[in-house]
Order: sequence, then structure tokens, then C-alpha cells
Amino acid sequence: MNKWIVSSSPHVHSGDSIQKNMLYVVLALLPAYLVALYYFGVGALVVSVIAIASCIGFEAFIQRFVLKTKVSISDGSAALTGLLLAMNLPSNLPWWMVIIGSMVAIGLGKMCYGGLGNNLFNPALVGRVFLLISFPAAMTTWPIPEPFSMAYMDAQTAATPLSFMKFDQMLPPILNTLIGNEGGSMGEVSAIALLLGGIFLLWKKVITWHIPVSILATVALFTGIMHLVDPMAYENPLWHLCSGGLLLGSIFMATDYVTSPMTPRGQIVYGVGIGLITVVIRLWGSYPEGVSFAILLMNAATPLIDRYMKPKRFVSK
Amino acid sequence: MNKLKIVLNGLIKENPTFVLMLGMCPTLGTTTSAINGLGMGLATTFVLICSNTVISALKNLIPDSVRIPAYIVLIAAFVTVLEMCMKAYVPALYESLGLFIPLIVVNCIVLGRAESFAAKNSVIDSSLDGLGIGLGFTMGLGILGSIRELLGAGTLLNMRIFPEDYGMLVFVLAPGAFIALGLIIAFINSHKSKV
Amino acid sequence: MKKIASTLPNMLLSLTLIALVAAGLLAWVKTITNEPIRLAEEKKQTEALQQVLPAFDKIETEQDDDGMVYKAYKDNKWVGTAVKCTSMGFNGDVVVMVGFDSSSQLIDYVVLQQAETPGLGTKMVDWFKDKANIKGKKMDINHPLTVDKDGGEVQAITAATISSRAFLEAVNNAYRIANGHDATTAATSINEN
Repeated sequence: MNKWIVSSSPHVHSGDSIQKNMLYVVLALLPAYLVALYYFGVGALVVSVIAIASCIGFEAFIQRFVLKTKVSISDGSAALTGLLLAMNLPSNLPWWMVIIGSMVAIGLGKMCYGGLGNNLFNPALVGRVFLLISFPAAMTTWPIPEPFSMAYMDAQTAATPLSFMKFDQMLPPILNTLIGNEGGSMGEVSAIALLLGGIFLLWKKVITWHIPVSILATVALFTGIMHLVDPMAYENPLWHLCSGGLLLGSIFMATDYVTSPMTPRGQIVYGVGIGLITVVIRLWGSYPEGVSFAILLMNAATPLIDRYMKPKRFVSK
Repeated sequence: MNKLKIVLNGLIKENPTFVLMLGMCPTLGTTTSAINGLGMGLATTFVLICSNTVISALKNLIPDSVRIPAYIVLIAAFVTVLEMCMKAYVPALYESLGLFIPLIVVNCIVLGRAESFAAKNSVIDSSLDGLGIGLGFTMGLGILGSIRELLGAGTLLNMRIFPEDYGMLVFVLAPGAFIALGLIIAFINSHKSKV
Repeated sequence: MKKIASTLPNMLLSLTLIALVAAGLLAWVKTITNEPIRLAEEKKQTEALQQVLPAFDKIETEQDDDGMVYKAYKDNKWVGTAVKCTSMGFNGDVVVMVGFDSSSQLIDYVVLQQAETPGLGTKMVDWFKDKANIKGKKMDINHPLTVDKDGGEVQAITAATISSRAFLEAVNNAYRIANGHDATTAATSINEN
């Protein structure tokens, strides 16, 4: 009997392809990382090095001493989780919070489920959201961008465009959000650098267009309607697209193979869901940014989406 | 059955929080601090002992077809007594436990013990079972409350252990309750499977 | 003793008896706890008033459109006013009780109800007593208190400007209400003299 077996994610890839994909993702993150180094200086360097090192360290420790399995840090996935976590943190976050975030990302986000390929949620986002709820003040005060800044925890702080939008109805010029000259988590500030990375990933076929495009289109449409209804209360869609973690989230976090649906149709449903939840949290929620919550919520819905969005069978009984 | 064994059964072997996983709603909802967890546990213990004793004493006078309404009326009466007494004599604790005190009525531990133990055993055994299960629940809530209070606020029984700025707020909030409970149960299960 | 059968009369009798006993028990406990419950509730209110007002021996309660006014007297002399009022916070109502003495100085405040973001807005309970102390501030009806972001003198709670604004709005409202009621009191007391 010959049957097509449709398995839901997670899928375990062969080691070679994991490493190659990881490398491409790191390369794609490079422009945004360089922008972060330029505007946030030493702080960005310190936070990212601590995050990557402690993610690798916790993965090795848990595999060696808790699970007593083979240590697989050489596949680069822990390092990538660390880098993505760092990109989602303010560059002046105290070092011990970064370590706690890495511990939660690897321990609760990944190892609890049995390691790479089995996790239900995006580990880096689990770490970020844990920190956001635990230390809301530290996680929502971002340093003012200052080229080649030497400051780390003593950096001067400012609010992000999203906080401006929500609390003060006052916006900095949009050019700043395009190149990254604004306050924010270190990896999310420059729209252009993130888009460059996204195009690279599409070109290398590491990701497909379905997820990022459906997220961005939903956000643009929803905020566009709200903007038309009441331009005073709701900012125009371009702002929502360029600010906060939306680009970082939709290109790098939501597209994670393990935690997103497998079929193109499922991916579009998933992307639309993320877009809707993001906008609802941004406009009416009590946190200024909702991308990370939205992605985690849709991660949880992924097995369900896969169940209802199976590809059609070619041969039916 | 050995009397001590009945008490220990509820405390350890059939611990309602960590083994039977009953009464999860108050477990997750009230354990924001060690005091709240212990207070909720003791309140439930009181209701458990009273309801187990009385239901066991009346078990032959209650026809089977109406036993559930009869049990509920008795349990609700004890909960209301408890609620009024707490309001009068420990108003601060009453306020922090709030809605969860009246909700003891529908706590599945209380009705569960009435059905599975008190309706079949003698009055003394039933009251001891109520004591054991109640103390087991109190212990579970106390442990969970202590962990959440320590990690979330940096205090233990309101004594400062480390500065508040280092507390992980998530543990005081609802998600922290799930995470902490899950980790405790994982720890217990991993040790049980080794033995 | 054998278990009684589930016949209709048996069921009715058993349930009725149980309900009657339960009702009797509740009625008895109610008569015992009635007085302590009333005292405990009164004590809570009095404690809040004692915290925000100078020493007093008599309280006069007045209902204002925007809140409750508690005027405190000592030896029949007006010593201060406390006002309980509400403003819109980041997430729902913020209810505070604020006390002022006879020279318009803010004595203390108690946050009675709030549902702000945990760890940010919820800090208002203590923030304006230690980090940005407003106790002892001399209130002026023409210069309401504002946060530093709006050019005011009160340091806002880190990363929770909205909650800080809501809190100060409640305090300013409280003072406006207290001021209105003081004025009429002052007028009547002059007439009496």
C-alpha cells in the first residue's frame, strides 16, 4: 500500500541542511545587526555576545546534565536563538536579565519539548516575552541611538515610535525608522536592513513569501481601515509597517520552520492571524507592541492549522 | 485501615495538587504569595473536614438519587460559614483571596472526597481523610506560593530575601503559576520514575 | 443502619431536613459574625481616612458629583478634607483617596482600586510617596500637579506615563472637589460667627 503521509510540523531535517539554513539566516540578519552596532555601540555588542554565549551554554548544560543526551550545539541553532533573542532586546538591558532570557528561551522554549525540531513555540520569542512580562520597565526603555556609543547600561533612554504613537501622539520623521535612527530593540530599528535580509532569504529559498507578505498585508489593510475611520486616533499604515518589531518578527521569527504551518494555504492563514492579533494589541492592548505575543499565539495554533489545511490527496480511496 | 495511613495518603500518595491534579483553579489563582496559598489551603481543609465528617455521618439518611444536591447544600453551608467568619476575623486575608473562597463550593476536591471516601467510610476515617487531603492541598499551595513569591517579588512570607528589582514579575502573574506548577510536577515525576 | 431507599417521600424529607439544618446553621453564624463584619468594614474606611488626614475626632460625609467628601473636625474645628474620586487609568478606573489639611497641603493618599499594567502602572501605590514624593505638596487650584513629561514637577513612573497622568488627574480632581467644599464651609462658618 502506498500512502502519502502528511505529518504536521515539527520536522527534523538532516544535519547538513540545518547548518546551511542557519548560516543563511545569520547572513540575512547581518545588515540589521551592523545597524544595531552602529547606533547602539558597545551595548549592542555586549547584549548579543552574552545572549549567544549563554544560549549555547544552557543548551550544552541541559543536554549534557539534565537530558543526558548528545550535545548538539554545533548545529548552530542555539547560537541563532541567542542572536535572535538579542535582536529582540533593548541594548541597555542588564546582563543578568539577558542570561535569564537565554535560560528561559533554551530551557522552557526548546529543551522542555525535547530540543530542536520538537518545540511548539519560537524559543527566542519565549525568552523575550518572559522578560517583557517579568521586567516591563527595563524592557520598554530603549537607549537613544548614538553612533558608536560606548555606553551600555548607563545609556540615555527614549521611547520608541510605537510608544510615541500610543502615548504622546507625536512622531519622529519616518526616514529615521527606515534607516534605524530611533529607539527600539536592537534588531528592529532599521526597516531597510531588515528588508535586505528578507530579500536575501527569499532569494536563497530559505523562506517563502507567504508568511511575511500575509502578515504585512493584513497589518497594512487593518491599520489602513482604522486610519481612514479616524486619522487622529490611528496612525497611517506605513508607520505600523516600519516601526516596532513587525519586520523583524514577520521575516525572521514567524518564518521559523519548526513553529509555522507547512502548506502555503496554512501559512497564509497563520500570517493573517499574526497580523490581526498584532494590530489589535497595538491599538487597544495594554502593551505598546504585540508582534511577539501574536507570533506565539499563532505558534500555538499551528498544529490545528496544519490539520485543517492538509494538501489535497492525489489519490483518494 | 490504619488511621495514620489515611492522613499520609492524602498528604503524599494522593496529594491533590501534585498527584491527583484536582482543584487547579484555586491552585493557580491564589498562590501569588506563600501566605495566600497557605490561607486558601487551610480554608479548604476546614471545609473538607466538616463536609467529610457530616456527609459520612448522614450517608445512610441521604437517598442515592439526591445525594449530589444534598452534598452541595452541605458543602455550600460550610463554605458560607467560613466566608462569614473570615470576613469578620481575618478581613485582610479574605480580601486577597476574594472570589476564591465562595468558589470552594465547586472545588472538585471537596465533592470528590465526599463521593469517593466519605460516602463509603466511617465518620472518624472520613474526617481523617479530610484532614489528610486538606493538609496535602495546603502543602501544595504553600510550596507553589512560596516559589512564586520568592521568584516574583523577592520575598518569602513577607520577609525580603533579595531586592524587589530583581524579582521576575511573571511569577506573580497567571503565566508564572502555570510555569512554576509545570516545573514542580516535572521535577516530582522525574524523581518518581527514578525510584 | 440500612441506607434508606430513593422513594419520593424519602428524597423530599431528606433534602428538606438538610436544607433546614443548613439554613439554621447559617442564620446562627450570621448573628455571631454580623457585628465583627460591620466593624471590620468600618475600620478599613477609618484607617484610610486616618492615614490621609490629620488627627480628628469627627467626620462629616458629603456626596459630591465627582466623588465622596470626608471633612474632618477636631474639637469642632475643621482640620482637613479627604476626597475619594476616580479617574480613567491605562486600564479601567483608578480610585484614590487623597487628604488635604486646612492649609491646602497634601497629607497622604491611598490607592483604593486600580488595574494598571503589573510592574508599571501598579507602582503608583507607593511611587508618589517615595520616588516622586508629593506628600506635603502645597496645592494650588490654578496650578494642578503635572508629570515631568508635560513640563510639570512630578516625576512620572518609569515607562508608565499614562498611569502617572491618571493618578495626578485624580489627585487634582480631589483637590478641586475639596476646595469647592471648603469654600462653602468657610462661608457658613463666617456666618455662624
